[in-house]
Amino acid sequence: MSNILTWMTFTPLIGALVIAFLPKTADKAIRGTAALFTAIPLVLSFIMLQNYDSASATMQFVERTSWIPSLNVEYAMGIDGISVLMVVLTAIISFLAVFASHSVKKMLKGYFMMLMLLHVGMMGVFCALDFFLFYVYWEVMLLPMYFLVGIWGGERKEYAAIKFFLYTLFGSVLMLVGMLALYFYSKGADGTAVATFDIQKLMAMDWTQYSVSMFGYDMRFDRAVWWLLFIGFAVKVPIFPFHTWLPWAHVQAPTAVSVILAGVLLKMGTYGIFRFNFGLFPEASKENAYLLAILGIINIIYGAFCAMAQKDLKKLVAYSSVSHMGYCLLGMAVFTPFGMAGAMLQMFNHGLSAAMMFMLVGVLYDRLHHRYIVTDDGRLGFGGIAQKAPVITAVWTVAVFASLGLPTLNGFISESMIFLGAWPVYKTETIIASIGVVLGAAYLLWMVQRVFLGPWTTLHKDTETGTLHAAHELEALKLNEWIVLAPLALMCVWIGLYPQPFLNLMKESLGVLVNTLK
Amino acid sequence: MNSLLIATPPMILCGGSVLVLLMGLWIKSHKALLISTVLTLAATAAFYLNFASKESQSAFAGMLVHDPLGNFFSIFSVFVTAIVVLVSARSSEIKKDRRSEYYSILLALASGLIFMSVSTHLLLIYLAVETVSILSYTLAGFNREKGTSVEASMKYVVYGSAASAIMIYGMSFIYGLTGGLELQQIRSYFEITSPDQVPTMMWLATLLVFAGIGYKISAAPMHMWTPDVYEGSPTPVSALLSVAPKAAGFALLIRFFVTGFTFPTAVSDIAIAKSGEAFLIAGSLNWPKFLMFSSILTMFMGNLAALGQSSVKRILAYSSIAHAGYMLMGMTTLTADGISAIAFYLVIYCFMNIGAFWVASKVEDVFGGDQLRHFRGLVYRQPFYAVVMGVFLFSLVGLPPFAGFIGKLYLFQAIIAKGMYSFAIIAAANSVISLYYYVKIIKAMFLESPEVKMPSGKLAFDSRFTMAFLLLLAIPNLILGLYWEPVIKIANEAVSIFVR
Repeated sequence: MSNILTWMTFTPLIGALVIAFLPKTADKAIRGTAALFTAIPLVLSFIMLQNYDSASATMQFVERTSWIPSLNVEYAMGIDGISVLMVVLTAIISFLAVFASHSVKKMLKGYFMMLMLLHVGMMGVFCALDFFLFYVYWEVMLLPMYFLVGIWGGERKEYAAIKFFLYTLFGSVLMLVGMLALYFYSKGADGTAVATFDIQKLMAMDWTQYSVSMFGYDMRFDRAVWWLLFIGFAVKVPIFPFHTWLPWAHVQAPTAVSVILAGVLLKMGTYGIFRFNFGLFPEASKENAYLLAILGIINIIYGAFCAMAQKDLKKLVAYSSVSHMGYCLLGMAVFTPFGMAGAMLQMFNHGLSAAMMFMLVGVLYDRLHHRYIVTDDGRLGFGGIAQKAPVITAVWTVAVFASLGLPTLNGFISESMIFLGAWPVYKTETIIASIGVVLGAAYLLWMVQRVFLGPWTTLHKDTETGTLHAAHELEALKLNEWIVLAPLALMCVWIGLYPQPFLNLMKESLGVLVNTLK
Repeated sequence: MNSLLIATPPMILCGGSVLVLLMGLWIKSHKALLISTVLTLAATAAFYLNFASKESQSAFAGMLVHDPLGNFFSIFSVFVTAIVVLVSARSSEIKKDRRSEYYSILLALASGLIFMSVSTHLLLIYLAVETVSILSYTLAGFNREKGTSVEASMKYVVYGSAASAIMIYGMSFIYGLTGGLELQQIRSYFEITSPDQVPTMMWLATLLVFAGIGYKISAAPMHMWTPDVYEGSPTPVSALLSVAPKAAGFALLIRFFVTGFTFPTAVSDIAIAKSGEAFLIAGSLNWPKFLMFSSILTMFMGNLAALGQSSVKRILAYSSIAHAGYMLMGMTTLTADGISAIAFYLVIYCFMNIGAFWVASKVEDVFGGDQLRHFRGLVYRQPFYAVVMGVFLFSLVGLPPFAGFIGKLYLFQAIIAKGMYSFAIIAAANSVISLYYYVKIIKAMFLESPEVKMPSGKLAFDSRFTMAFLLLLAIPNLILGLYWEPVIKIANEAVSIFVR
């Protein structure tokens, strides 16, 4: 129990090492090992939830050992209300991603090893209590993502992979500069304290007293570092205008990687803003709150319009991710309990619904080998799927309505909480943002109409010749697809009907955060 | 320790050099030559490990010095030469009948490198630099049959001679102005002369010397020889050139500026710097700013020029220019932290860079070229080499959890501690730019399918020896990324003589 977070984080690494020694051709063994070593963190996360004390706002399951004494870096892990839902989400999505990887046929060993390494990084990011450790976990994710997208991805995979890598590395190195700046200034104004990377100690310090000079301008220290960290996280969320990597990475990645990308990786950006930008620099955050809200609204509206214009189904879902992360930003920017809780819940909800959507896109792609809602020459790529595959349509409908924000599904709870939280603070902006809900309904329902309803006009792409001809049937959902979709759908309904347990988990810690931001 | 004892290591190396050369006349066994070379290097290293000292001891009336910094760089040079000997052992670019001359030159080069690291007298500095340079010219042109190798050597000769001439010109001015050739004598001049009485000529003189040393470390704008020389030379020689003279050049830079040109602070009459405080350098030139601009220029030149290259050796050459730029970051702040960061970075850099060149050497041997298309699909043909090259390249980018990140971390730390945020952001942006060209190689190896035909016959790739040693180079990249205390301790010790 005392090292549960370390076990959760590093079990996939053991899995990667085991997979390294399996023979190349042992497909089932490799997949089974991957499933086992992601099931263990999942089970541990449930055990952790059982023992999680919702009434406490302090860090729980804390583990602390000295790692690099000369730099005063500690191996410190712990979770609180802000990270607990994310840890559970990571565990769930990591496990389900193994089952979403059925379409991967080549170089399985390398694929699952990279997947396991990715899981280590993801879990570690949410648990790290030491900034240096956080940074290492953050960067550890980049390498597996590059290979996962670049080797097992779609037609433009190399471009998507390098774009993702460059963008995220750019954000990360700015974060590095900010991190080192914090480290040195943590020595205090008189330079007597020991420099530290510990997040909790850094949160207790007053950063407004220093001033730095950057590119000839003198800035207050906390503002400068707030911006450095913010750009780093903004690339990940992604916030307009740093979002251009996302349509490429999401679309070109294999299904399981899209699921992980949309389900977990995007949330790291907003988690980082919660933990570091808000936690360390309340004054600078308050000064930039309006900007954050505006950026959120731009994400919502711009993402929705872009989604509406898409002819590629996966790209539509990718832009809908941009739009939904905009809701998180709006909720975060208003610093009200409702808004922040709504934003956190939206992070969790979107993780589930986006994972479902990407899985479902993969379901269609595996069967029909294309993603055209409308082909380049104007024909409908899909059409009338409800006629021959009602079950697939039903699951799609659950995902679409969860994404849209239909009451009784999870999206409604988080979006309405965000609006309820934002209304007292920004009235006009909230009205503009709520147009995003209408736009969301527009592009999603229009997509449903063109893809699932109407006469059967579905096309099938021949993988060898690349030509499109009429499809005659659509296979039903297979077991591995049910394993991924059913739990996600059930959770969407559960949270939509009874979100209180989830809200209770984060209440205390968010309460503390809201107080510091007053 | 008397002077002769202090100078024993270079003497062992010179003796070994002559021995191997003579052996080559009668003994045709390559193994014997190889073993004798390695033994000579081992003997030298053993000497240093035995006689390591914490204090500074002068030899030959102020010509040499035996101190931790010199020890560090001497052992480093010997170590790098030993690895390069191993890299060259199986390389097909160095003809079999010239092996004895090759090893002999390598040993003599190592002794030149040691002299560069320990000399404190301007003339010996010049001699050492010339020794290393001339032997490097020979090594660069070692592959006589290949036109590019001869061309590389020619370019190196012309450029190097000009740079050395500029350096000695500057040294002559320094002698004229200060009246001393020993670095200690130059320092004494500064101790008795107040800053505003130092003639303006002084900064020009030091600038000229910096140009000469900068040529050795490939700092812009003295870097232009690097790409052509690295591309044309036999790959093991490129591996050596990219690490060893650069390290010795940095040792020289450090010693030249810190020993010779630092102003005494108010605290004491010898340059004292606690960890974190800066050295002051003489002359009206704002040296920290100048070094900063030099570093930025070097980084940009190296990184931007590498973006368009299709030859892996040229990419690695430009990358070594960029890394010289990163290392100059450590010099900029003139703090002990910065200088120990340079020393630390060089250790990691040695593992990364020689490994990368070694894999490039293997690919050149087997596939006949070093273009990106020769690397395509390497993961399908030789997964071990592709993976290990991936480790080296990601370490060069500076990505956690590889050791390259830790090296860059310490360099960044040195400048951020002094509040140079703009500089840090520019250096960080350079890291991102560098990712693109390293990933070009990774992309070719992992993401693309093989293009060049696999040659038939006994493959030079199938070598347990090479794989074992590549693994020995790759493992520190992974381990030092997580636990590097011993190495940073050694680096701090090396700099400790400047810190009281």
